[in-house]
Amino acid sequence: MIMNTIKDKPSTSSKKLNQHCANYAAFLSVGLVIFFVSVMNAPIAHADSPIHLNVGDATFKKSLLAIPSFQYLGTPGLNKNYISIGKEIYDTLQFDLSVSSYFDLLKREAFLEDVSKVGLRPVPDDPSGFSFSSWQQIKADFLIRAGYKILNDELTLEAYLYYVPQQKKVLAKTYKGRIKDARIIAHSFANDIVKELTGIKGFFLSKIVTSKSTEPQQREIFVMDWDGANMHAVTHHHSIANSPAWSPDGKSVGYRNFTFHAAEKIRNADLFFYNLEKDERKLISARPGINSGVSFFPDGRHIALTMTRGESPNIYKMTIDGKSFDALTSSTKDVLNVEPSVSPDGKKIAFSSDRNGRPMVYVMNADGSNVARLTIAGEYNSCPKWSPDGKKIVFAGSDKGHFDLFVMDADGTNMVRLTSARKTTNGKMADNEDPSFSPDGRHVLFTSNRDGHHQLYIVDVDGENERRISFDKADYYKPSWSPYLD
Amino acid sequence: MNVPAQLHPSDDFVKCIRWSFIAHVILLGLMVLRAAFYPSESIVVQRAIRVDMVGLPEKSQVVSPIPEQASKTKSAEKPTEKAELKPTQVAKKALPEVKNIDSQKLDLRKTKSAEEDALKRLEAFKKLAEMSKASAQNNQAKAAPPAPPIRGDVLAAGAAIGGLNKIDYDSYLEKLDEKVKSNWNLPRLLKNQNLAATIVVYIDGNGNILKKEVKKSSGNSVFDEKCVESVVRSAPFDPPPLKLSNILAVDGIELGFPE
Repeated sequence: MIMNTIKDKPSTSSKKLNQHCANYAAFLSVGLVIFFVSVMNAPIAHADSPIHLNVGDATFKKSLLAIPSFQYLGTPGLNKNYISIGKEIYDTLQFDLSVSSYFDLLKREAFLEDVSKVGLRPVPDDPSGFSFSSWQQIKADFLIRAGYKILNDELTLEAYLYYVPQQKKVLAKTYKGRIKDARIIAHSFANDIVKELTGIKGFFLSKIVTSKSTEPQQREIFVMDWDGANMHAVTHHHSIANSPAWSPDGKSVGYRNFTFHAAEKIRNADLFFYNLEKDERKLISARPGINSGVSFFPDGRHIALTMTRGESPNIYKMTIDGKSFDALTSSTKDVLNVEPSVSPDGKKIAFSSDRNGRPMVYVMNADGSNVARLTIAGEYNSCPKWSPDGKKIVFAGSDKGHFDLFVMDADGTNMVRLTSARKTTNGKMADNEDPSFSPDGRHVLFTSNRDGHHQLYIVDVDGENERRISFDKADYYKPSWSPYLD
Repeated sequence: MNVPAQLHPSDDFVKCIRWSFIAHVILLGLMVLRAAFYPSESIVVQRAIRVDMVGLPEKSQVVSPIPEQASKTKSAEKPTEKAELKPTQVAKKALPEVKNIDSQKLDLRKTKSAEEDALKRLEAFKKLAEMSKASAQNNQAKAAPPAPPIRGDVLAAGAAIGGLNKIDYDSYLEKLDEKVKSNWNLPRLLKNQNLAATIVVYIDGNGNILKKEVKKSSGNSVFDEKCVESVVRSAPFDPPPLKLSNILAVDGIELGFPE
């Protein structure tokens, strides 16, 4: 019995041990699974996935561009003006590309190759062509080679763009037109270059409409190329015409003019449309008081404008024929609601108002609801205009007795001052006013009196690269940059 | 009598070990399968940023004019009605504007004082560093046998990257990253085109580039070229720390442009 009991004991204890072991094994395996799975989920550097570093955002530089003289490919005797025509194409292209602010132009003195003696194409393609190495040596990124010929009234430009570091042809195109289209040909080539290199459409065929002083107390509406060329008057009211704006299709401009109403013997600020294609003028609104500050809705069927109608100026939405309208603001006496600017999507309207004492920039929905104040700073903020992508608003603001341009996000944040200039005449701070965005949103057109008269200027949207584009003794008011016209 | 029974394991115990063995084999198999089908992500080394908790609230007040503006917009909207009804109050209503401008000037002063504070803080840090150096030297002088310099990297030759090693490697990689970034220029023409590429660089013990390759192209040859150019222009790098040099020479280092 004793032996039995003794014998039995180990067997029971080993059973217990067995159970322990099984429990232990189960516990261990579950634990290990959890451990390894969790370990493997943690990022570990494997042999096949090396250390990774994020370099971050690059700094951006302008590319170096060489534009040697254009070759005349025709017979020199046939047209006496071939040199000046070539120069016009060259200068137009050069101005376009330098304003684009993508390029720094290499000086001619730096060129190593005499381009008049080599062809438009590189050496392997053309045995007497140019060699890339002479452009690589002066660190050119891009090279433009072009030649032109004139046959009777037909002008032909053969143009190439090369990417020098890779010795690659980027663009090769032939442009044809009449002699008087020389600038259009140059602008088209510039547009093709920008489109090819950035994917963004070039604005070089766009136009500007502006009010311009012609005589004392007289202003007419003028249209010109964006670079100031081909300026011509489109109105002859012999009165004060101002505040022009482009229709979304770029075919018409709206403006207001102080027109004499013979029946009532008064001058009234009436709203007109002028169709540039048909050369046709149309009276839209002559309600008593101001009918001014037109801004087109993108649908092409409505406009926003300021009217007084015998009361204080308020903003109205009107059908394009001028027949019916709704009030969007309803301030009573002595409060201004003026200068509406319809956003590119047609959903919002920015405007200026002095409802809180000083003129400030406000924004509201296109039906007049949800008014919000955008600017707090400064003493006088006016003339808001939307960027073509609807993300930014530019306006003219005054804080120390003179106006400067400011760009901000559409919600009023991130305000940046674009301009600051002294007058060349007396050293005082100049006024920079009446801003308008370029069709690509990268530049702003404005007027400045820094050189005495209110002349037209262009500045990059980051405040760099200021350029004057009008050169006369007139004063310009409320210029407006067209949408893309091509 | 119990003792021998425990020393000689029973069949049950052997069974138990066997199960344990099977469980481990299954586990190993699972691991292999997992590693084969779900390769782990690579390490992303980013710059460590030192955050000064004292400076933050002050600056955020100065920097963010948005909430301020929003609240003022609301408060500014209401008095309008009154101003329109009673023209005499207009002058009074103009006051908040003046206040706004004043507060902006104040803000300017605040930013200036914040800048000054930051400069002072920097100086204080410098002095602290000098002081701690001096005290360390003092301590060394006082201690009878000067303690041998700590050499974490040598001691931990076979260990994983961690501790002093990690600091060493991190600072090396950060330097390398900074150097490449300082050389990374793109033409403005490529702005806002959302291009991205990955370059792998192999670096030898002296910091020279052994090999470089475009691992993931952006699809734009100029962009890729500029990425490679930024790496080439940054060479030679500093000689890498001992253990890191093996990794850099054999596995290389991935540079993400921009990430």
